[in-house]
Amino acid sequence: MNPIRFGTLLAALVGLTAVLFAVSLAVGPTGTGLRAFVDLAAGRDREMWSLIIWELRLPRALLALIVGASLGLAGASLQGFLRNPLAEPGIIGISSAAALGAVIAIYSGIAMRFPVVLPLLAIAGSLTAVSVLQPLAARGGALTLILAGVAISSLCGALTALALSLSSNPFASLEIVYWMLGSITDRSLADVWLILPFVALGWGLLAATSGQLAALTLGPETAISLGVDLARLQWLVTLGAACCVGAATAVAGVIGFVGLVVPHLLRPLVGFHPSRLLPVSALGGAALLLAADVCVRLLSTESEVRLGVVTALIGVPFFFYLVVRSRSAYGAS
Amino acid sequence: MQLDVDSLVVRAQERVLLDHVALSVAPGELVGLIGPNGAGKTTLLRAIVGSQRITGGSVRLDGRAIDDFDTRARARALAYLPQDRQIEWPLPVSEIVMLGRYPHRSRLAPPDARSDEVATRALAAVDAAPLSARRATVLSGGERTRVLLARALAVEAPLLLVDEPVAGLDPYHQLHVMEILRDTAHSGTGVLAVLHDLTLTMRFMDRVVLLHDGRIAAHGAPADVLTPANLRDVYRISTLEGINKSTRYVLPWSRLDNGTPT
Repeated sequence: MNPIRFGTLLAALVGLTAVLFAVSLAVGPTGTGLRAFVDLAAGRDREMWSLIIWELRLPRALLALIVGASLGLAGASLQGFLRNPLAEPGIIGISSAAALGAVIAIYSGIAMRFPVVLPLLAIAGSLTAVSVLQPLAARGGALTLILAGVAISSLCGALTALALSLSSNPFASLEIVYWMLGSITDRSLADVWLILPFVALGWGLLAATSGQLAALTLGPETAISLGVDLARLQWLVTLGAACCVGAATAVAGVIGFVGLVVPHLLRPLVGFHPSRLLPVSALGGAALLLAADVCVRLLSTESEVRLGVVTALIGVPFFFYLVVRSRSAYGAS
Repeated sequence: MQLDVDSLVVRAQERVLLDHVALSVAPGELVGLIGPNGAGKTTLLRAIVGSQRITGGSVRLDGRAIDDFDTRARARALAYLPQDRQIEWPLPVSEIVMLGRYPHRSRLAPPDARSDEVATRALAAVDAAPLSARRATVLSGGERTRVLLARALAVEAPLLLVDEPVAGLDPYHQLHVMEILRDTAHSGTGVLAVLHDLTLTMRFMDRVVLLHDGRIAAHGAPADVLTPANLRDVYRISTLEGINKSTRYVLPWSRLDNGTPT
């Protein structure tokens, strides 16, 4: 793909994300943005609409944007670094580890007193998971990575369940279970400010990996000979992905498959170039999560369908497809 | 640029992989590095490139220790085609060759016109210009080797290190790749090539270094290194020799067990 087409793709994704962001601000159970405009123009219900848009819909739209972009970017970076299209934060256990960190923060009550501990412990969880996975992925193949991810997910799931079953407050436990299904409902701008520094750090670290991921296409030996500092690159990807996934999970719970579906769909459009995949995956992730969140609001069910459930329903068929397609790689590893 | 390796020692997990190895490659020279499996050929190339930790000795480029070069300067000085020909993503061939320009580009700058020109020339040098738009993962073995060689040539480094460049290729493509390496050397690049094919080594190399158990067993002109005695001691084989159009050739003929043919 030539740079002009890449530029066009970027512009198209920026446009799509902007439109979906606007739609996200406009759609909700109380009515559409059009009615808000009419009411506001007529001077009716000014306070109510201001409250709905600024306090309810804006934080939600911003979180969908930030969380989606972070998950898309983290997925594309991990796949580029591990040279494996199945390396998605949810599949390989990074999100579960982040959720465990967040549950510890919530369960122990520390998060109530010091909110910043919530993303910090989630990041610590995902950092631990990425650090364990990377050497395994380097030595083994796709199968090793997935099995290690299953082991990490199972362990984190068991520890989370243990924390919940030891809880003296069943309502708090239920709340945590719902939170873990992944949702950005009932969040405030305070949640956005809480995670923004961490995701900004993660985006910055992952953006710095861009050109080096392309050099890794020909394997680590060639990358080193081309002047890539592999140890520095590993550090950038580990910390960057951990910040993105940890911070996103801290406020939104486990939202899986965004980092799998988005890079997979966009990879052919950037000529399979691992570096160009990063910015488009961030935009695509934001667009996907904004769209999924709008769908969740439009589905009229008694209690809102969780966002993580929607992304899983979209993502699992992709995962199966990728597993079937890469079965030769499984046999080889 | 002159490459000098002096008293190079590489140890890994208490095993000595290279034991006081010395060699040099001058500009315009095509040097063959041969030896049985496990002799330390790939380790030597990796030590020169910087992907294998050196225990002792030195690697110098034009008299300057290689550790004094920053990673990008080293990458511009030494191009390397590893034994492993992996290509992970189905990038177009033109993009694969363009990766050779990585050490010349600032991280955020788009490819410049000169890089495009160099990459196009490198593809033409290996007779792979028509493959430019093809996906790199669907190439045949011969095409893949030539494309990856073009990627190494696109670095425009004064030194080129290639590990088993003809492995898995049919005779036509073996000769083709050897001719490319000879032409590259004749254009002023110093080339160090790991080879298993003794016939091609005899035919194409200016000088040969024979490694055995991490040590240099012999070095010099091909005819002085590829002697029946050296090949018997190091490879445990007997050979057939002949002359074709005033060029000597050597063919591996039979295995020897304790000095007798098996």
